Amino acid sequence: MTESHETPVGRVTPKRGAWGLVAAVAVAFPFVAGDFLLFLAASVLALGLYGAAFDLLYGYTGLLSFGHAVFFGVGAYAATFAITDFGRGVFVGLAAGFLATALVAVGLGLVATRVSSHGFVIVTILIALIANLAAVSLTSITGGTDGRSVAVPPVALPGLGDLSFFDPVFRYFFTLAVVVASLLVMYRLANSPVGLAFRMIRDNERRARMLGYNVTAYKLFAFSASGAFAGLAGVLSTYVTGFVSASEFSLVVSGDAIIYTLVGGRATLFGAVLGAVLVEGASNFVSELTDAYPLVVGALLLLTVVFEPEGLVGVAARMRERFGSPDATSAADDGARADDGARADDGARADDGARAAESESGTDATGDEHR
Amino acid sequence: MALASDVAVAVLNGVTWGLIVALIALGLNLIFGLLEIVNMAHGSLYMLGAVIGWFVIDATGSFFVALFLAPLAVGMIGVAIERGVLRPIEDDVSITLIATFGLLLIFQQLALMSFGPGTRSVAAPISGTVSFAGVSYSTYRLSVAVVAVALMAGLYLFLFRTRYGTWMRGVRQNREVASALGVPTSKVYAFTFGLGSLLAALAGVLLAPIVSVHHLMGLDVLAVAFIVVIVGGLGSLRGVLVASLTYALVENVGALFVTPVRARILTLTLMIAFVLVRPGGIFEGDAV
Repeated sequence: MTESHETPVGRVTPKRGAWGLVAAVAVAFPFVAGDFLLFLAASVLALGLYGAAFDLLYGYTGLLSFGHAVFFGVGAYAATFAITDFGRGVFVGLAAGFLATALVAVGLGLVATRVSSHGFVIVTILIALIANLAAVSLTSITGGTDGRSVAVPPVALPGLGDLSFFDPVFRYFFTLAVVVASLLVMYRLANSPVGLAFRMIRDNERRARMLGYNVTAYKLFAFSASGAFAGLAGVLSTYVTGFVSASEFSLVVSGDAIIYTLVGGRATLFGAVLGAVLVEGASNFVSELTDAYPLVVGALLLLTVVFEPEGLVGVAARMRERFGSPDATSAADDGARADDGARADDGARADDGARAAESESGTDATGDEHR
Repeated sequence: MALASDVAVAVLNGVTWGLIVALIALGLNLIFGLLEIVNMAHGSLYMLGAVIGWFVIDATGSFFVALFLAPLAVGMIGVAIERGVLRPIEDDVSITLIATFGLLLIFQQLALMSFGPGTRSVAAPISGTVSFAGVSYSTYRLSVAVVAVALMAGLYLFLFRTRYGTWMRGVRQNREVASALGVPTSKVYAFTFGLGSLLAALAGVLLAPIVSVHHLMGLDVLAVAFIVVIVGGLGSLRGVLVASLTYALVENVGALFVTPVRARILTLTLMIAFVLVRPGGIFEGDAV
């Protein structure tokens, strides 16, 4: 099963085969699923993009943000304003959401990246809480928690005519296309030299600094890029539901991004999409879960971080290791496993060690050993 | 004259609110300084204090029983959290953060399920007002301020004059050396988390007659406590006190001119801007 086979379309490895299967399911899905399932699938795809955008920051750069709800909300509202207040089309809405969020993210990032690593998280929490307060109270602009409905204009595609977002199949494919394109861009970014620098900052910030990397600038870039894609996800979500409200800014929405990423696995991008499918799918079908949604998310977060911090991808890697397939080492290396070192690194202990070493002997030796 | 007395009341309110915020944020900062855990559930511990307090008052009819029982209960919950949830994952800051966020959601939802979605009020145990120089002010609020000052003085004495307090400061400075010298670090951690939770719950019960009790009340306080901790400096206790009073005074005096929500948003934003100028907080590099 692990060997690759020569076929007329090229070499088929298990990895490529799996991707082919995912693609086939994604394309075939609208032809077997009903309207509600299609609606659910489209909104889950948007949320998957949201999770993947968060993963770009958290998984690859090691920065935990509780402020992603703000980006999701800003994107959603930017598109809403572009469409309802300025009468623009769907694509302008997408661009507006992306750019407005990128701008907001740069501004907020300037504050957040200035403070120490723990301070970064706290500042993002603050940003989320303040934005939520503002969004809920400025009802004349945001519509408050009651929200605003958005009449998404139809899209004119060459050869296909006007396509409406009321058509579930078109809605699904449109979302799928934007999500896949965004994932590819993010994948490219994460595997570019810039992405390598992100990972170096995650694994050893001090070393990156010593090698001459402008760590603050890289963090700011990661934060903005991640924010912009989260904003894009917000736009998509608005297109799918035709509705936007101040609750997009609530802290639970930030928590959603974290749970998708943790359930799916960090630093994988696609894992977050998988996480979104599982979490949202489960909570939509079990009505008892929908009622106590925050309880479920809270319990899931707690269980994941305590028992399987590497998420599903970690479980898969562990299974492959257990059953001794030759693929295990390489898969584990480029996936979850690489994170293990990182986790130990940015832990409090290592910091303590470094600090103790500095204060006692004035050298970095012990600190380095910890790292 | 009306304006002058309005301003006086706003300042008094600011001081009372600032002292309570300081009480909550001190616990948060104590936990951070010692355990390097950013406790997102801190606001919900404050909320739990108020909610449990409401239930106790409902059952016994006595505010003072609630003032004793609720913080004790929440303090024990705090110890249980440290032992059961955070201890196994304490080495990873972001993982503990996510875990405490999970706790926040769980506590909030449990409060919603047991307490209901509405707001409820608690009658102040001391009624009446005190008049001085033409300004009359609620006796209860004044006593809350006095109690808060007394608690902080007690905390100071505890940290600097008792063995456990010295242990806590020792562990804060260097965990390995403290442990090598025979300080029971594991107990100190659990105790610190419990103490921080107890302070938050105490603030919750004290404030219950002033603000209305509901299951989301922890979120507002969380934002305020975090900004105060950031502006005051992570780990700095006197910074927290200064930042709390500044924050509360600006917010309360500001609320004379704009709506309270806008005053809060503006104050929080101003304080975030302060972080740009001085990322390390007011007293940079302070230890306990």
